[in-house]
Amino acid sequence: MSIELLKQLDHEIRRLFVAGSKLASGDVRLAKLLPALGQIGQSSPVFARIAQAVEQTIDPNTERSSAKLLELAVLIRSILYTQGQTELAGVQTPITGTDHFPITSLPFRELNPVLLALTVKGQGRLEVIHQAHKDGIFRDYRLLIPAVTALDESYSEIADYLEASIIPQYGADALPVLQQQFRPDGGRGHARRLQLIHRILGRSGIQLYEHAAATGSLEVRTAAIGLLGHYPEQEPFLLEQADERRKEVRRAALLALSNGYTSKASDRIYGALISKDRELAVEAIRQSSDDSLRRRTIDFAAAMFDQWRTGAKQEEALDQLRTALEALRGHRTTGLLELLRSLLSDPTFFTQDTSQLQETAAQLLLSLDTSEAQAFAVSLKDTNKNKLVDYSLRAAVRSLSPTEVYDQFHGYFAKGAGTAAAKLLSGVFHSLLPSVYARMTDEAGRAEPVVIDPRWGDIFIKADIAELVCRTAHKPNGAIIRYLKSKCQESKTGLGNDVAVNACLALFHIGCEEAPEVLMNDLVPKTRRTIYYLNQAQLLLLGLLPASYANRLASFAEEAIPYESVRKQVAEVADWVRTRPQDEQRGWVQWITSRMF
Amino acid sequence: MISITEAYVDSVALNAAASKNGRDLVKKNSFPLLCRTEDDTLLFGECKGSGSEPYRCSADFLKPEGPIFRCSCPSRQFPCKHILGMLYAYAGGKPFAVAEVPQDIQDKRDKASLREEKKKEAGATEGSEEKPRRRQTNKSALIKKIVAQLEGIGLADKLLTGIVQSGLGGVDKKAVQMMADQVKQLGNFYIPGIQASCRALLLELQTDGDRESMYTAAIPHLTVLHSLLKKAKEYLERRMADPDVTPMDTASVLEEAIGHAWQLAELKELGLVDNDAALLQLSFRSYFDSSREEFVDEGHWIRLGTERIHMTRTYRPYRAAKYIREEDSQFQLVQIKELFVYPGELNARVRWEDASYCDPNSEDMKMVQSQARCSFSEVVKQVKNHIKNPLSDKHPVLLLAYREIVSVNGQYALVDEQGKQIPLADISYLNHATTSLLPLLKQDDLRNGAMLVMFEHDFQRNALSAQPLSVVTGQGVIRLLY
Repeated sequence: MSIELLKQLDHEIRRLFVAGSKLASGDVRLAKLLPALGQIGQSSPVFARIAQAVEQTIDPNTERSSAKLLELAVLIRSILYTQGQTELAGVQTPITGTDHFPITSLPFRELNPVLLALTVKGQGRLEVIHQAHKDGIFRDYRLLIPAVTALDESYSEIADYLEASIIPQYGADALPVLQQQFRPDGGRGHARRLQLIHRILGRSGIQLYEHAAATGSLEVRTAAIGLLGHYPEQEPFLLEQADERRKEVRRAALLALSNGYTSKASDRIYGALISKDRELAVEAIRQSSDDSLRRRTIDFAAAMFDQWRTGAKQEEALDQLRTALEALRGHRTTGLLELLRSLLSDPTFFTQDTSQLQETAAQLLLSLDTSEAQAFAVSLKDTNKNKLVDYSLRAAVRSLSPTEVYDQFHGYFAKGAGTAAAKLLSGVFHSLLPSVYARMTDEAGRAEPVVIDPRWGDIFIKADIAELVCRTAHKPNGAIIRYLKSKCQESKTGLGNDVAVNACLALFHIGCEEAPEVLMNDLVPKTRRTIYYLNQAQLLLLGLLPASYANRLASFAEEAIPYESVRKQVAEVADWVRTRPQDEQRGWVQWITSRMF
Repeated sequence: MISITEAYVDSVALNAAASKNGRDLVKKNSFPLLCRTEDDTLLFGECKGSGSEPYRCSADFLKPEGPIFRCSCPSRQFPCKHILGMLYAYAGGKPFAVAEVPQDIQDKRDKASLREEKKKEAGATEGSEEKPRRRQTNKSALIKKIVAQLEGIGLADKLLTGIVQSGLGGVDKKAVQMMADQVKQLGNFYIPGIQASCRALLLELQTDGDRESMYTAAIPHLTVLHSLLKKAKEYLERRMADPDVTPMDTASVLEEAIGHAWQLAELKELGLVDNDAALLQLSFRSYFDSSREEFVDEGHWIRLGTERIHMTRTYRPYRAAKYIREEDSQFQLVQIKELFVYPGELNARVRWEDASYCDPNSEDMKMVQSQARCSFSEVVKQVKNHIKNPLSDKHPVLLLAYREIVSVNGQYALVDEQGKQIPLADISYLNHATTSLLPLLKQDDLRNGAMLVMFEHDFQRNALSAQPLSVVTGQGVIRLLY
């Protein structure tokens, strides 16, 4: 066959290119091909030319062997170019195509960065994908396959985002691609594909899930087991899987069983709770739709508590108790209050070993959110050296009037802010009351503000907790203004001191007329020359100055700030202050947020 | 005044990064002053920059077909982000205060109109004279240049001979370094095309990794370079003997392959200009050509009323890429008064200066479909005849009419009316898969349509296959690439 002969020649030429054309003279392997070439050459002039070129190449007397070899190579290549096969052997089957796939055509400039983000490694890709999703670029069908392929991405945030937000928007159109790419023995990416297939196919894909659950890789298997949990008839299989050798599979199976179609499933989860697998059962019990399982867990916890009290296998019992309590989070199961009551009202419960458990129990107690539970929580305020007083305060704020809360709790600050109880209570106030910056910029949102007794202000001043004074300050009042001013004056670093900045913000917030003077006299001049950045609170504060202070601020920026970007920041603020319309604060807040962009 | 939409501003921007920067300026409220004139022909404003003075930018739409942008910033990227930002602000509906035309811009407008008038006057007096003079070439300078070119070709030939004689097996790091120096020297001989070919070979030799695949990749470069040097030498020697008898070669891409950059005036002199052409872009891509050290923006276009697929190419040198407009997919029909056609074969390169744009209607699409090539046996013959020429482009692009798209043993193929096949595959040259998109097409589009494909010959499998670039339907062009 002449094609074979040409290929053979091409191969020999390649060999000579690698070895060097100076070895071509008298080359035996090329010479061997000559007779065959000559024979075909008699009927085909092209082959006669080839034969001639080969002869010239291997001729020992030739001068420029390299040129001859190149000539021969050019000739062979040219001929091979004309011999390309175009017919595919086999049966033709038409492709079916889709009937409703929306096709949009985006230009190169928009599409290319997203394609690169999906296919090439490097930083900053997640932002590109986020933005593209926001701009609707993923509607372009050319991104479907790269998006599905990128589920294997090792940058897991990208894969998560694709799975949760992007691929689902293609709906059923993504199915063929997902199915085509899915391999049961694949890794995490294939588990994601299976989840997505399930979202589209639902029950009709049950065979695929069964197959994956039985034969897949660990990741795929656990995902498939999770999916099978949606179908009651799969319970026997899941029960089987709950006894699997591998922990991950057991965990997935227990979770899948938490749908609790029959008592067998709950029994199995309970069995895990009381065995060494108890950690695996925690999530399953939390998710379980079977309330009786949680009641059994309560009974079990009570039994473990008894066992602990009697002193047998104390460590084990404590651990069991801990897991049982963890498993009870998130539900208001009947009987839980009684269990917690029995734990927390037992003085022997408060030992060093159980400190973690005490917290868990108190958290569960608060989460019950009933007046009975709250009253009990408040009553715990003096147990165990006030260790649970913070929970008591939280319960009290929810259930009692501000005056009652004040009456019951202000005494803990009598010895100043340093006592353990005062520290715990300060922490609660911190989390309940928004900061002065948040209040002024609406960052606190529309969450219902917690109302507290105004007398707390004096308590905090006495205890010298500046932050809480700022947070509680609402109306101008002599003592509060004095206190806040003193905080501003005490600052040695001017604007560099957060306490002072907040105190000054609070002065502005309560409408104290001296606030601008305090700011310009006590804070601004003392600011260290090394300041290299102004944060949002500091910017807000400077922007609150009335227009008449603009020039002072500008000259301060010019004279006292060596660092250029800060100087620019302050100069911009001065500009703003000068031109701002009267009483306009909202625009300033927007300006700050845009600068922090 | 033309309507300023975001899409318009996008098209004015040099690249995607520039438009993003412009948008960010609007987001950051960096425009303290935004003004427009009563008649909306001028937008101007101030944009905060890093200096104490704001940048003053303006966009003058006195002549809507050629708006004039001005900015006081020192950026070399033009239009700069400040101008783009101002236009985005306008497109986004930000308030623009009505104001008088600033004095400096009024002065510039006056000067421009004065210039215009002078030009007109000059045109009126010259109009009676002869048509534009032919450009005179200095013969001795030309011969001097050809001598230099031939010297360079001799150097390149020596380089090639050296490699072939000692064999690719003997090419080590030291040899490559030496070659790199020689290739650099070729820059002194007015043969940038040949230099790029040598560099392409060099890049193959430099690749780390499997030696065997390096050999396979390098050998085609050797043969191409050999043919190029041989043809160039013959041609230049003939031309040196008498430049008048042997004019510049316009029948093939030889001049461009040597490295000549055709100027529009030259093309016009040589009569390579077509009048009143309508082009529709069918496919676009942009890639980095490392042997030329340039970005290449490449479009494939069909000329309405013919079977010809033309190509546009914009080269953006790596170092100046930021300052040259990055082309983009073009979906509109381009009406061109003067279409300059470069010497070439199957996909001759084209360029134009002024054009008007409109959306293609269904008549246009039908016309494009009817211009697709029907007989695959003829197409295959033509493609093979084309690619066998050592200097020709090995990846011609054609528009094919197909009866259906089928799958044969997992590989796709186009089938024509006579049942002839052309296999479809993702070719290595493009390095961008598109065949996987075929099953996503609508059922109707899989039959009796037209497809733009790029061919490639695969030596390993001894097969000629084509990669789908776009599908032309009655409604529009479905782009599989960009």
